[in-house]
Amino acid sequence: MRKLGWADAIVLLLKLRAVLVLVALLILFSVLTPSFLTANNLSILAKHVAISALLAVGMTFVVLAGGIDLSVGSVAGLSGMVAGGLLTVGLYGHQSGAAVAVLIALLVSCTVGLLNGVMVTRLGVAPFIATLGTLYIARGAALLLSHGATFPNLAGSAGQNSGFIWIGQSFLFGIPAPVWMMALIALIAAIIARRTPFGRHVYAVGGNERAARLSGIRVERVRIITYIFSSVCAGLVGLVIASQLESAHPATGESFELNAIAAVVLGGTSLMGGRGSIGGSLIGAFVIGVLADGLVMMGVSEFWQIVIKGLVIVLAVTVDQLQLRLQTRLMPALLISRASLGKVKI
Amino acid sequence: MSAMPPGNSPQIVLEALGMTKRYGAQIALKDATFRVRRGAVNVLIGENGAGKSTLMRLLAGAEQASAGQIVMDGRVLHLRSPRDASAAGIEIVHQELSVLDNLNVAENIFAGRELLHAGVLVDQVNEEERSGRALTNIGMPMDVQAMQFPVDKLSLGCRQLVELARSLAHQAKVLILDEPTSALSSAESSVLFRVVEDLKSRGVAIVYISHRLLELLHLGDYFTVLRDGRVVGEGERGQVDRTWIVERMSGRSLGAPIATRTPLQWAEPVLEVANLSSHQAGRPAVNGISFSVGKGEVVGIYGLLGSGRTELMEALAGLRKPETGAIKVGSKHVTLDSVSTAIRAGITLAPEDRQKDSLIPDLSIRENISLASLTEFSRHGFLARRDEAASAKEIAAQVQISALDLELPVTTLSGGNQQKVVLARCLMRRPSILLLDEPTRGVDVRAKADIYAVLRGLAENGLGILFTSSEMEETRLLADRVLVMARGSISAEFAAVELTDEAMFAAASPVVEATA
Repeated sequence: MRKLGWADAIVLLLKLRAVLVLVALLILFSVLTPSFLTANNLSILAKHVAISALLAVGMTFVVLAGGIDLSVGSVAGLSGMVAGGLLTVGLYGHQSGAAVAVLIALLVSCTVGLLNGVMVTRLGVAPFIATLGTLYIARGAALLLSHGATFPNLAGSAGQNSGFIWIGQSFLFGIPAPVWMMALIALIAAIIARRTPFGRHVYAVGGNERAARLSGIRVERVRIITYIFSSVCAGLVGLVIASQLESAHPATGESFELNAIAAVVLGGTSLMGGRGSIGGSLIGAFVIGVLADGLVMMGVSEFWQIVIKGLVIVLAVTVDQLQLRLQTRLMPALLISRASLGKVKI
Repeated sequence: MSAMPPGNSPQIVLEALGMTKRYGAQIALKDATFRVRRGAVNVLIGENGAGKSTLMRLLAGAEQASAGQIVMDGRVLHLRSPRDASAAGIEIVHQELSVLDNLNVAENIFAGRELLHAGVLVDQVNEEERSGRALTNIGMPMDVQAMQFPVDKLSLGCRQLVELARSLAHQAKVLILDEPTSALSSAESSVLFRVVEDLKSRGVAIVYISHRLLELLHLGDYFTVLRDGRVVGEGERGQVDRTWIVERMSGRSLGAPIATRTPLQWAEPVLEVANLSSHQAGRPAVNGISFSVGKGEVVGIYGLLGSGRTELMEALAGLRKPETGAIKVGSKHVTLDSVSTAIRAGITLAPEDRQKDSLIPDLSIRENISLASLTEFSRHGFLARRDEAASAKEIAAQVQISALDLELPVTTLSGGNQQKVVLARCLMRRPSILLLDEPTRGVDVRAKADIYAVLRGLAENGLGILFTSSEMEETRLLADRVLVMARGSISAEFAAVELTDEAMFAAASPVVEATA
């Protein structure tokens, strides 16, 4: 058995670049700011990342299938407001229990996703426009629920409807619940993407819709499910935030959709669809989170933080394109080195 | 492979010397040399995938050659974009219309080269005037009102002429017409022929590409035949006749026809179609067709573009709903209202355009093969990847895919192997009838022979095969029985033994052409 060829090495390095960048950032911030690597900061960091990672994971399926979901931020806001309203004001004068509030909030999110999916597939509205529409609709609905006010005191009263704050504030083995939630959902999503017929269908629809249809894949159904999944992830995020703050604000989640898209793109998923991975988006979310947190710790001005974030996104996508071109160019060398490894027979 | 004696004929204006073009592992054009003469119709002939369109794209600057040189009037040209080609005086009218549907005639003619007022604003009046003149020049005067409509309101033939006018408005020295009549009615075609003759007399060098032999023989002055990316014949008007062309186009034999097989088992039909009609834009594209395909029988449908063959295939694959007709698979009546119902009924289609309709470029060879059969490998909602891989490997071997590794992206394969992947996908569903729309389009000779052998083997094992082809030789080699389609109906039926290219061609040609 021979060693890996140089072409393999280059491509491997490029493929792992997001991980490498993440590691480099972690090392950099640890060295520059001593307080970065403390348990307290890491816990805060993880909670922030969990939120954008959840959104990014949901968004990944939509993007893989060739769509985009701009409504996630608003759905997060709406979901929190629905739960908040049910817990404090309630339906017909009865305050709901935490479980019911959570369930209904997720059901509402699910409906928005269904609406997105139906508009895109059955009515032929472009995904950008359809979800831009629901971005406004969901935000407006969130504001209408309380006439713009905040639902405070979501902790509830013991024995009646407490427990809501558990979602965002409890710990398991010293790790915050939202982080567990993110890990679990990302794992499930990764398995769906890689190991189930549905996952393969998503890649196929994004890669070549006509070919997918001609292979008997129910393209519309696949698309609708991706939008529903994205909205449910967004709904969860809304609940996590409301639970952490113990109150629901109608403006929660504004511009979160852009963060989610940035994480997806940073993770190497193509906005044209068909190429990318859940793991990539997860790393993308971590890079953005660590970068933001580290820059704050270093005392970099808020305005510069925004500029740096933009630069990182543009740079990442540029490198992505370079990798694609390089890979095509290196393909003959790759084939030979694979053959010499004995992985393939000529 | 005779070279043209240079010198004694009209002046050569453009020479493409030793042109080679590779797409990844695929070689579309191999050391092809093509000469274009002034004031003449230079015909380029070849079957689908022979490299004609590739050569034209190189001449038009749309793509760059991997090797070779383009010389015009003794000067070497470096065409890096269509703009460069246009500046050199080379204009192309594409097979697929490239007019901008949403713009009007004048806007189309001057798209990208707008006439300006003081270098800033578009000079609409001037553009319209010159467009009007260009259209009058080619025998299609158009009133000012009609010129204001977006061109998608015009007929296909008109749009073709608008494209022609666009090329002419820029004083083309070399005008390339790629299948200009494929979408035209016979009346529209004759207008086009007049324009071509007129341009010729004005010294324009015309490169003419078409599948319609009669049209070529009627118009052409110089003939170049391409096969599998190489130039295999050159000739002048007078030396060239239909036999000359057909011989060079189809080339060496790919094996004996399968007509020698005993037709015993075909008695049992796997597909029966009765009175099938399907409309396209209000016009009947398939007009009351009835036929059957027997178990183990290979039936070929030969027809020119627009004969309804593609629409027939689409109806059988569940892609378009037929207006009338009954379809039986085996002994069961089926209603084919979607691709999945057709697949479940046992009908699978390998579409004509594998890039657009079949392959998922981002997925591996294995994933492309198993795409239509994923439910088969689903265990409690998870993909049984070992089963999937084993099954894909087995079928890949059966259709003779030569790949280093089935885990590589499907795009690393040559055209022939990609087509085998499409075939493998269809076969994995274990269909009782296999539909193939142009089964070897853009595939090299060796892969063609492989594919033919595979299909024959499948038929021996009882699979019913229905294919369409615009290549006469392929139809002759592969089919036990040939149905010829023209204008939406079956105009003739031949058993393989009694089949000749001449008869097939005559039956496929629209009436006007046959009497030309």
